[in-house]
Amino acid sequence: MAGRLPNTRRGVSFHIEIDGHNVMAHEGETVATVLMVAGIRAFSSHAKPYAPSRLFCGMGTCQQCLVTIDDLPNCQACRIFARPGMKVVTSDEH
Amino acid sequence: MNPSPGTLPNAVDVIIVGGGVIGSVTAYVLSKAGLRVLVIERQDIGSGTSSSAAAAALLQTKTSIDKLTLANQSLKLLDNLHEQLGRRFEFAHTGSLLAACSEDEMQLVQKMHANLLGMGLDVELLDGRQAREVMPVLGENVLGGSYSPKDAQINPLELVVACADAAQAHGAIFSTFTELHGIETRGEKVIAVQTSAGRIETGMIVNAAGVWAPNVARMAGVTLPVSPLKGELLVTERRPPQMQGTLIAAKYLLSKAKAEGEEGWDAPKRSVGITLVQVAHGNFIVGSTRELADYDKRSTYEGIHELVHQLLELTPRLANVHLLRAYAGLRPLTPDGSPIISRTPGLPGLIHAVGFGGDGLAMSAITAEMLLGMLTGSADEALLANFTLERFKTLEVIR
Repeated sequence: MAGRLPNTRRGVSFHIEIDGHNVMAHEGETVATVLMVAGIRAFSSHAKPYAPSRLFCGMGTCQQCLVTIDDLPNCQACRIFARPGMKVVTSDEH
Repeated sequence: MNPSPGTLPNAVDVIIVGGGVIGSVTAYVLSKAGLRVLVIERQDIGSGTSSSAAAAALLQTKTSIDKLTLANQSLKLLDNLHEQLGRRFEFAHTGSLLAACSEDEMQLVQKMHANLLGMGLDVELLDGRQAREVMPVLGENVLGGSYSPKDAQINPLELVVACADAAQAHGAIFSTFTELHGIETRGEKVIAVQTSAGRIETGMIVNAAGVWAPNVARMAGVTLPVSPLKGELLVTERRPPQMQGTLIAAKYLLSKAKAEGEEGWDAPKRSVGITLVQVAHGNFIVGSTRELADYDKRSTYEGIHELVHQLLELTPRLANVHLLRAYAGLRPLTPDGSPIISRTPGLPGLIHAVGFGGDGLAMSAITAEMLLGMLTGSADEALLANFTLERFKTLEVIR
């Protein structure tokens, strides 16, 4: 289970929306970080064979962590910082 | 598919050099007619120019009645192939729209439209509003265009594989990762080829090696005037269907004319006229630049920039679609922009089917039929006269 390390200085906290739920995030955290901490494992599903995909490389290369952010599909959760009020939708169907 | 030396037959009726779209469709047509066919492919099936095409088979970009007639016949044959072959290749007459963004471009489109009407093509002149009805993805700055409903979309790789599969079902052999080393002749006859998979006797060679065809011809002492014309393309992520058919920027005509016109093959530095297709899987394919850059197949920032710039001029609402990949391919270009479908003077057993520029997909099926006609003695000689190697009179045929 992923969780935030204790006793670490973080940016200010705010809320984003993940699949309709309010989730706390900190400034400086990527969308992928917030999803992992929230216990979300499946970010999206592969076009073939519709298997779930999730964070893998964590550096913008593998395209496995794609989510829909503010209605824009196929955004890389690992490369985009969480912003207050952001709406994230996982498992966008292909 | 990758035979070791000695596993190929000792002799066949026809050897096709090149397993791209021309070679594969030809292999199917010839093997179906009962000929024993062997395809020699240096890499894998469709791995050259066929795998970097823009997925369209267009009619309304044709500037002469000969080319239009052939492309029309070829698209009908592709229709038949799509029905006949076991494997589908996403072929559909989804139409094409030639779109203008300025008065100058609109004048060009009107001229082209009149020319096409005169040649008997079913084309309709549209104003901006009508153009956006046909393709809602177009921006407000599109002034109008010409719409051709019979133009087609195609999946080039699926076509190549479908034909290769069907050809093999008819007994054709595809020897991939096999290099051609030499052509053996006796007098005016082809007698065999030497390959990395051994020597094979044949009286007939079809040179369908595209931009690499000059290397094949050189083995028989023949100079083939074919040059690689680089095209850079983009492919985007998948999106729900937003458009049907091929969008062609009017700038495409200027670009194509520059590359194929009387200025000849050493004229263009680089020109861009985009085409846009949304393929069956939902990706958009954006083609393409035109540039003589030898055999360089790298994408460039300049190329990507120019393609995106022109794309957004026509379809600003695609601005939020993510690019997936940039790639480039090489079109086989002849000095006059027409293909070479021709026997070799002094060596009739060596037939060239090369130099289709960006029209290889559209022209593949009719080319295969013409080659069958040449091999069985039933060819339309008047038609073939347009595509002879001898028309390049200034070029010395060394033999």
